[in-house]
Amino acid sequence: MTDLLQLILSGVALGMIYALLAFGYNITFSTSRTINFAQGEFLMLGALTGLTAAVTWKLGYAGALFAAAIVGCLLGVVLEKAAIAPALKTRSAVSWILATVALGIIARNAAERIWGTDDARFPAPLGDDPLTFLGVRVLPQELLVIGAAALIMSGVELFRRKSIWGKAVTAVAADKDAAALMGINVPLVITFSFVLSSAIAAVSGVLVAPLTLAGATMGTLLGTKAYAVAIVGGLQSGLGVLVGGLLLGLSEQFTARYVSTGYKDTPGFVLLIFILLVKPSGLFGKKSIKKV
Amino acid sequence: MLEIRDLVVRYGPLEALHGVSLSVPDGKLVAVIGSNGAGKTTMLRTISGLLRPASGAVELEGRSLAGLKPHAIARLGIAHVPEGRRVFPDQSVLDNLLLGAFSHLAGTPKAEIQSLLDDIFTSFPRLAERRTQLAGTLSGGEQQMLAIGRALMAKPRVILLDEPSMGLAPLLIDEVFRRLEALKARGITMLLVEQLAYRALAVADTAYVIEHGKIEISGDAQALAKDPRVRAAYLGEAARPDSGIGLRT
Repeated sequence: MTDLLQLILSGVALGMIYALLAFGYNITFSTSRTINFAQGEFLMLGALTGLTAAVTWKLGYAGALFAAAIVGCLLGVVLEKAAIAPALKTRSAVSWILATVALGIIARNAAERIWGTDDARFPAPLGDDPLTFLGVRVLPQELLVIGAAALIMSGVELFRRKSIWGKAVTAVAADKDAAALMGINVPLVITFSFVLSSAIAAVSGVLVAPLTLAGATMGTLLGTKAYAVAIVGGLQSGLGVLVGGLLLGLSEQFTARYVSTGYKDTPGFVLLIFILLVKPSGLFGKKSIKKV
Repeated sequence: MLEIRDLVVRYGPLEALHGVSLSVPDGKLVAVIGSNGAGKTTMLRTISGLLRPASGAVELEGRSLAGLKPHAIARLGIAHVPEGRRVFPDQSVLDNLLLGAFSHLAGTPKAEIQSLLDDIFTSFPRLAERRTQLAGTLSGGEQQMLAIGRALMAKPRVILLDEPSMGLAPLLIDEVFRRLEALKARGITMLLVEQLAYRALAVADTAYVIEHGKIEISGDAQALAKDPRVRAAYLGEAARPDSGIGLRT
């Protein structure tokens, strides 16, 4: 029983990281119908920047989160200006896919030049000693990941629903021309969505790194799996990416425990193929309401 | 005063407007009538910056709008009620109205926003009843009222209306035109584009007939309604006052 609870907690923590990355896909897809295939690399750059801030500059974990957020915002601007805006202008799908993939490769190689090819340990802010309650041993970092991810996602959802700027983002997602006619600066909103998405990815890196290791290759598989999560949950649905993330995190932990750690990465892609076969719009893919 | 001069608009090699000029004086309702594909929507989309003219000028109160992005033009006080209404379907009626006020919301006191809302809810009681409902679930007529209400929230200098009757049942069309008359009585400046020539001429002060991207006839709306050329082309049997519908070509 305690074994099971421990598995569930680890699965939820991992799932929250997938959900955060997929949430980033969800944000940019809604405003621009594009996603950033370098999202996993942005997570990695966030983690390594955070490592430098925390260890080399001795700014602590909060400093690491802050530094990662700043780098994430800057990456978001670069991404949007260099890879997305030109592609949206020419209406070419191939070009934004290739451009974001290329940016990811550049990011990975740059990281290897700057931080080296070895993985480094990221000190956990709340220590590495598991907490024990009711016989369940849980890493404090796992709880931190779950709490921070929930905070970030609910914060963004609140912003989208309650503030006029968030409503403007939703309006751009629904109808760009109509949004522009309301006086909303549509290109600025699209840039903003990439800044937000990239900052979330970078901060996720600082959250996950103490559980894994920080290194130039840490983001690639995470980014790909988060993409599977976004497709499984439904690219358009905030709730969908959360459920999809948890589903994947849990199924991976269970596979690793009860099948073999060698098959740990399998369930995500099996799930992806299955969902694409039976419900290609995703579990929570919604059809927009249109009544004439 | 909104003025457009010698407006030429091209879609690739295709010229959609061949030098259109018209003016909308303050407090007046100006109608542009013409058949489908005559260039009416193209003209409105060019005024609000969604399309770029090849040549010609659009001026609001003497200020040129050349080169401005659509959101900048909206902020200068041109509210465009687009063809097909284009409300934000996944957001509530209230959110749609607040988005209408987006360009001045930050600098406007809450009380003034509330009085704008109250004003719209008084004119369109259906919207008040449905303020928390998603706009996509409204009927076509209600969506049209919402689209007009959203434009009013902007405190506009000029409202551009693109085919407000499109896709509506005759009773609802009556309702829409009653609303336009009420707005006109309040001195709101409007440029109305319509296929329902008879209805448009009945509410407008002045009118222009556009065909194949050119203004063919213009003048006082009452006079145009009697003009034999206009009657022959747009006010045939189908558009008799009692039939409730106009000739759609």
